[in-house]
Amino acid sequence: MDDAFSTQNEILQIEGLEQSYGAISVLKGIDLRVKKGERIVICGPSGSGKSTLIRCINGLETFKSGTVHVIDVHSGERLRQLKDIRREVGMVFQSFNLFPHLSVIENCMLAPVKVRGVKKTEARERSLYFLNKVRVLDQAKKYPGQLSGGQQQRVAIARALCVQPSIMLFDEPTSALDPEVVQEVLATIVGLAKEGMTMICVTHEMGFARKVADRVILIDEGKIVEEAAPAQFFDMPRHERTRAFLGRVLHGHPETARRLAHG
Amino acid sequence: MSFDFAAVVSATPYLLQGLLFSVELTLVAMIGGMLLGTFMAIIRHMGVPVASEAVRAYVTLMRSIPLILVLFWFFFLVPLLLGHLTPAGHSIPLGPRFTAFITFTLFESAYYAEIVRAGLKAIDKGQYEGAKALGLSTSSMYSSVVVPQVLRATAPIIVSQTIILFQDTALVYVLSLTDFLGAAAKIAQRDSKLVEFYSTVAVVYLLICSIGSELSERFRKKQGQRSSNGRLERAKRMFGLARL
Repeated sequence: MDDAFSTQNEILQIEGLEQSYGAISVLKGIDLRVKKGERIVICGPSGSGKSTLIRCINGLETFKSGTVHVIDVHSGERLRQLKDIRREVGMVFQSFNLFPHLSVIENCMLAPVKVRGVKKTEARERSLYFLNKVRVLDQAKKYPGQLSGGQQQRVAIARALCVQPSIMLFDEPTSALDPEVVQEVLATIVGLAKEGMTMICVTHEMGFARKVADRVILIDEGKIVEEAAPAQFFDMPRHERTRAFLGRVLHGHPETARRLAHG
Repeated sequence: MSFDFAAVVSATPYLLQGLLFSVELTLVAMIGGMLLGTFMAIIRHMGVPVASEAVRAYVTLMRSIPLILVLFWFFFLVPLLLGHLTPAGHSIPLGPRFTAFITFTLFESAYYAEIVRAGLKAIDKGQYEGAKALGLSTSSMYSSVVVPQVLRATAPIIVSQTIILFQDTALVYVLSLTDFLGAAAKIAQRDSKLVEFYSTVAVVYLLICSIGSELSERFRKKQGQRSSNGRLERAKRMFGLARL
C-alpha cells in the first residue's frame, strides 16, 4: 500500500483520523502526510478540532478510528511505543505548562536525563545551549513564576528542544500571551523553522503562517477544508469557507490584512 | 491551693521517656502513613482497575471507625484471626508496641491518602500533559513533577493532620502503653498531684503543636514565592481555609 517513493522522507502519516467526545464528533476523517523539514500551519474556528488533531499525534488524546504513524528519522521505521513517539515529538502548549517547583534549567534538564538517559552534566550543557538559543539564558536559575509570559513560553520551547525531537508541535503558542511579547515568541519559532525543524503549528497568527509555512491547512467542523501553500491559501483560496474564515480573522486586523496582501 | 512544681521537675526523666515514645509513634505513623497514603492516592488517581476500588473501600472504612476501636480490633481480634490461619490454631499475640505502630500507620494512611488525592486532583491538568509530552514515564511524572507540587501545596494540611496524630497517640493508654500523657497520669495518680501534672502536660502539648503550626506556616510562605497564584486559589477553595 505504501509506495516507497512517495513515502520517502515522510515523518508523519495520519489516515482517516476520527475522534468524538460522546455523541459530538470532533474529527471526521483527517488525512495528513508530513515530510521531514516541512512546516505546517493549521488554522480554523474554535472547536474545529485543530487542537484535538495535534494532541492525537503524541497520544494526549486517544482517537476512535484511523491511524497516526510517526516515522523514526533514523531507521525509517514506524514508532510503535508511545514513549518512543513522545521522545521524537515535542510539544509546546498554550499555557506553557512549565514545572513551577523547578528552576528554568532544571525544567530543561529533567527530560533529557529521565527520557534520553543523558548524564546530568551533559544535560546541563544541552539545556544551557537551548536556553541561549531562545535567548533566556540569563534566566536559567530563576523559577517560572518569576518570568514573563513570553519568557516562559520560550523556556517551554527550549525544554521541548532539549529532548531533541524530530517534530515540534505548537498548540496555539501565543494565544495566552500579551500582544507585546507575541512577536518575540513567534520570532523564536521562525528561527527554528529556518533551521529545518519539522513542525506543525496551530495558530491564529496569519502573518507568521505566511512567513513560515510550507502548507497552510484550514480545519472546520472536524474536516480539512483547504490545504495549500501560503501564497495560494491567502491570495486565492479555493473554498468559500476559507474566504469566510480569512475574512473574519483579518476583519479586526487591517494591519495584518495589509501585511498579508503585500507579503 | 498550692502548685507543687517540684514534683513535676523530679518526674521529668520519666515524663521525657513517655514523650519520646509519643514522638516516636508520631514519626513512624506519619512517615509510614504518608508513604502508604501517597501510594494509595496515586493508585486511585490513576484509576488502576481493582486496586483503586480496594483503596477506596479501605480509606472509607478507616475514616469511618474511631481510632480507639481500630486499636482494640487490631490488638484483640487480629491475633485470633492469625491463629485460625496457622496450623497450630493458637492465637498469635501481637505486642502492644507493634500493634500501636502498625495500627496508627494504617489508620493515618487513610487520612493522608485523601489529602494527597485531593492534591493530585488540584494540580493543573497541564502539568500532567507537559510531563507526558516530554516523554516522562508515569513513575517519573509522579515522582519528579506531580508529587513534589502536591506536597508543597498540601503541606499545611498534612501538618494539621500530623498534629492531630500526635494528640491521638495518647490513645495508646488503652493498650497499657506509656506515652507522654500516660506517664504523667501514672505519676499524678501515684503522688496525688493531678493538677500539676495534667497542667504541665497540657502546656507541653500546646507548645509542641504551636511550634509545628508555626513552622508549617513559615514553609508555606516561602513556597508561596514559587507557586503560581492559580494553584493557591484552588487550594484555598478546596480546603476552605481562609488563612491559606
